[in-house]
Amino acid sequence: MRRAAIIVLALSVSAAPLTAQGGERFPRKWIMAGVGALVSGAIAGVYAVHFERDIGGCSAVKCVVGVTVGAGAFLGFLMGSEMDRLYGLRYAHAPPLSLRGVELRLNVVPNDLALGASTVFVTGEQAVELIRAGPRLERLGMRARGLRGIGPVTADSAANTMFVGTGVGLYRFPLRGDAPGTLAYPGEISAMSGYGEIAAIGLGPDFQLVRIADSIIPLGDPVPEMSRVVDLAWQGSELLWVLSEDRLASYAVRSDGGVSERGEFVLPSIGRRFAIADTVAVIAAGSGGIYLLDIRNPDEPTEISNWSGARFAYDATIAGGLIYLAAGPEGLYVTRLEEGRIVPVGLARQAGFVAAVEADGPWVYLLDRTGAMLRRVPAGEVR
Amino acid sequence: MPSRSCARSSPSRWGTALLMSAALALGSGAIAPILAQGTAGDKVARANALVRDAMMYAGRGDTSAALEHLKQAIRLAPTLAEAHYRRGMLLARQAGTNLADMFKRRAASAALERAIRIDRGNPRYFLELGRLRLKQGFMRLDAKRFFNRALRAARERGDPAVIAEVAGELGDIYHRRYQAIGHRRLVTGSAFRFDPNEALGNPNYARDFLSERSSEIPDAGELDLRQAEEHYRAGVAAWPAHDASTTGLLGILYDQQRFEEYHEGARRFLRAAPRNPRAYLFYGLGLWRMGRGREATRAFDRALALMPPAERARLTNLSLILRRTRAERYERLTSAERAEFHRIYWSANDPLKLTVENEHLLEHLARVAYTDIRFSSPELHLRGWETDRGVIYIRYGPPPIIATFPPGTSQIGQMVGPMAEGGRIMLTGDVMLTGRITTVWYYPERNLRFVFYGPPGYNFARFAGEFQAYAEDARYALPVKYDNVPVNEALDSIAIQVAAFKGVGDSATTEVVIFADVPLRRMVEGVDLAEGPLESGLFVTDLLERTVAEERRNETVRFQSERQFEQRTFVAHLEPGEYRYRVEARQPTTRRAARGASRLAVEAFDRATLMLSDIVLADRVAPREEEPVGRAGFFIDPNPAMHYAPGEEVHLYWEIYNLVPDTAGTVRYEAEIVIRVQSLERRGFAARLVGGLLDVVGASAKGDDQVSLRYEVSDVAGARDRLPAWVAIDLADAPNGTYVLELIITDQHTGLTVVRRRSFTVTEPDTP
Repeated sequence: MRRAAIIVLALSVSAAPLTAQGGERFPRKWIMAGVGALVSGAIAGVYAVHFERDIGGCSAVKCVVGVTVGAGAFLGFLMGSEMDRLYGLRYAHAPPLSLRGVELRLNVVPNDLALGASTVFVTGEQAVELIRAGPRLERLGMRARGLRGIGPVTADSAANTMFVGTGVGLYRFPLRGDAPGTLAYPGEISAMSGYGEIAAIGLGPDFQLVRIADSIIPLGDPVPEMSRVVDLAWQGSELLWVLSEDRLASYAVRSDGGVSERGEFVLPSIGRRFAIADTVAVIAAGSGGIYLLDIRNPDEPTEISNWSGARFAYDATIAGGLIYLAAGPEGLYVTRLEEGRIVPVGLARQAGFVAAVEADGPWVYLLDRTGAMLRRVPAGEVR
Repeated sequence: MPSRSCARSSPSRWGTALLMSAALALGSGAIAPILAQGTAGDKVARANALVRDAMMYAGRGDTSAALEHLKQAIRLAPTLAEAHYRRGMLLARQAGTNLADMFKRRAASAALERAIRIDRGNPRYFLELGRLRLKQGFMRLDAKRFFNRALRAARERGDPAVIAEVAGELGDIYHRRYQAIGHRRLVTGSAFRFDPNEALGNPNYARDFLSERSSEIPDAGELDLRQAEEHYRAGVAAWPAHDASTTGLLGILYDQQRFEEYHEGARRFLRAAPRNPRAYLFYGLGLWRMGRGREATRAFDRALALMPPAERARLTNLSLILRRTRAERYERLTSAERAEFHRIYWSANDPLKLTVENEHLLEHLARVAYTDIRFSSPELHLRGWETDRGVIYIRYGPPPIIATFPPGTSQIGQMVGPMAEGGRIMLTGDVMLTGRITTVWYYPERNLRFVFYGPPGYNFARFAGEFQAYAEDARYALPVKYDNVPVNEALDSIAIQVAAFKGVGDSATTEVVIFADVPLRRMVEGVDLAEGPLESGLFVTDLLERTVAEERRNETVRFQSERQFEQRTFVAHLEPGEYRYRVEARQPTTRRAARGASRLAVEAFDRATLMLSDIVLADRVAPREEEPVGRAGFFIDPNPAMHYAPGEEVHLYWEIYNLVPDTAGTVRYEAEIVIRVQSLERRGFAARLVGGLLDVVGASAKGDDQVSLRYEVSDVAGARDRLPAWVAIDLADAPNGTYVLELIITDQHTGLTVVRRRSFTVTEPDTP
């Protein structure tokens, strides 16, 4: 018994300390060592009761109990150490964070999400699921059933219209009612953003301004970007931000639909999505992490900070003074800007495979791709 | 074992390993020019020269001469670490993992340890020793220690290439640990272990065992997988063009279906190593899995173009996906014949010619690329497609269910009889299982199951027991399948009726009319669109898959139609001969498609002999004009499937050529239509069938299983080169079944007779 205790003690002294563990988590190696000792002690106890004879070797009760308890504790210690190391790897960049909010299981295999007026649009493999964003999340129905390669979705509640981009065209659906959709604009639609009756459409490596009426009327020629256009956002009616895989560019938009480039921020890794909040933009740039940019001067967007703690930034948004980063299988990272640097606040692993994140007023919506779940959490609150 | 490439444009870490070693030696600043003999410095210089020569010999493949030169160099300058290192490296690479190479490994180890003792800060020495340990059985557990020391030394020296090399090795160590426990199943219930022999003999065993008698342990091996990923990422960060680290990282991302991350990683690799064909290969794999077929085609084409011919030949070799006898014939083809074979094979196996890309070829290349990522084993000199798992993966694609089981315990030993009575421990069960991980791949749709054994810690597994023979049987029945290709998931069939007519005017060609039923309603079922584009096309090739005729159409169709089928008619003018044809339809928005294909024998229509066109079976035939001169003068609503509902009328259309007119210019012929029962869905209704058909005016019964209609026609031929004819037959209460319709035309002037046949089916219509 004493020998076993000495072994455990020696191991504990030689064990390397945990790295980057958040909070006051009690190391599992000790808990598991204790559990192992208890379990093996019980087994040894049974042995002691039933086999008292010493037949040589280590068959005496004292020896058997000592060795068994020691082995059990050692095994438990090893298992606990593995758990601690896994914990250390999982939370190497941010401490664990728990999320409070509501969730809804989706009927589609989800890929992405978009927000409209009190409606959440979840794009899936072969449909768009509409969810009412009231006090609870309620299913409104499905649209665009059967379409493959669904990409960007935008909606205009007042016009009772939803546009769904696919690899072969842009389709128009009514938001309410079951009327079927129609092809509104042919081509590969990689991104879309509307401002009133004007919209910008990403057409692979180009983007095009269009006027939305009964039909879609192109305004001018497509504008070539250096690489695939992945996201678009308007800042007022005269400024359009275009995120391609290589850069974030700003364009001045004239009333006749003509555009001229104003500035750019070149990304060292692939740009995926971006969000604008007042004077800053946050770009999810894959393995490059997130870039926070000062966009007060559209002629010269400048980097405030970059954080690449996540293995891959799928999407990002800003809400309640925090930056939310959809990190895929890692979960949801919550970060904040402190003294000009992005610093992690926490990591919510229970959010699942977070493939998309969007902010809407006091709420942040998360899409769990593998769990097929939509979650809504209050913006700015972390525990 | 070959070294891992870290040069930016290194094509492969395989074949060029020794050349690279030579290049390293030649480029090494440690090797001074040969100086005069005499002093200690001279000896070192001469030894350096010998090392350089040795590596030149090694580069040429003359390892014996290289080792001899190194031996002399060590004799001249015993403290020349580089000589010991090179000797150790050569010996290590010569040595395999088997027992026979034990002394070679020991000598290599001694040489490398000596090099380390002389130059303790050189990361390459630790790296090579770590690699050697990987070949040394239980000592492979020690490899990690050496790699960690190499990593520290490389970081101290700021050598990114070595950091990447070591990170790749460490990543491999962790990933192989993960492979031993990933997809791990816990055996539950009364079962003791997964029995490969039972899986072989009992077709339900694998399915039942995996679904009922075992359960997957969630997150098994996550720690090792995460550590592997961290190391691979560190390797890529240190040297973005590093082959091994990138391959390892991409493999993990692919397996976890993190395709966005995979795409970015492959793109980064491509940018860092634009001359590396593997970079394009891996990039193409990601693009294909993301549904970007056109870009994937370009990437794979570029990969093949960049490859040395020998590697390209290995990668594109089709023998794995052919039946054995065919594969043996294929292997005997010359390279030119093989290229032609590839063209024919892939053209014939293109699921949709309407699309620019050949989906099956892309899938094949993607599978080969994946096997290269996942199953290649540098220490065993194996490329992924050469391994048992690689072969199965290339044939049948990603296994929907993977399970691993720990080494069995039954074979460790069981006590037979009480010890006091002379009992002994006996090995039981399959001794091949000892210490081996059992991996099961199960394809539920076709109930294919494959079991592999592999030692833990190695990226290697072989067929268990008799599964090699089972795989050969499966290969015979199903040489390859592409069930996982998206286009096949929604590929419907098109019913087709082909009818040949004499070409118009002086044309020597035959006019082949192809009536197709596009199952539009099924193709757009459940689609929330009022209308959308429909692509359709006819593709006619000769038997060598050379295009003879091609017609593509794009149109917008309404989706909400009540019609089950959309009929499309294509016309091709063909010389007499043997052809293959296809009619395809595709709805791009839903990516659903349909296809009908068959062989086609086109006969010549000569200008003198009495001849008959094919009979067109239709739902309705009606003349559009008073005296129609040919098919264009008729409204024909064809029945491409040649299926009729009970009670429906069967309408026939045909053309007669070269009837001989009498002196008044009148032609006379007798037409006889015989309908025979070929098979009935229900027996005992032949009499009713006959009775039903007997109601047709002019019909006369010839027996219990057939009826015949006969009538005579006289007509003025005039300038017409053909006489069109049509008739409608009321099948009345003919029962469900298959019938053969025979049309016999006899020229009453010459007495010559011609015959044409068609089969049709009477069946209940599909319920929409």
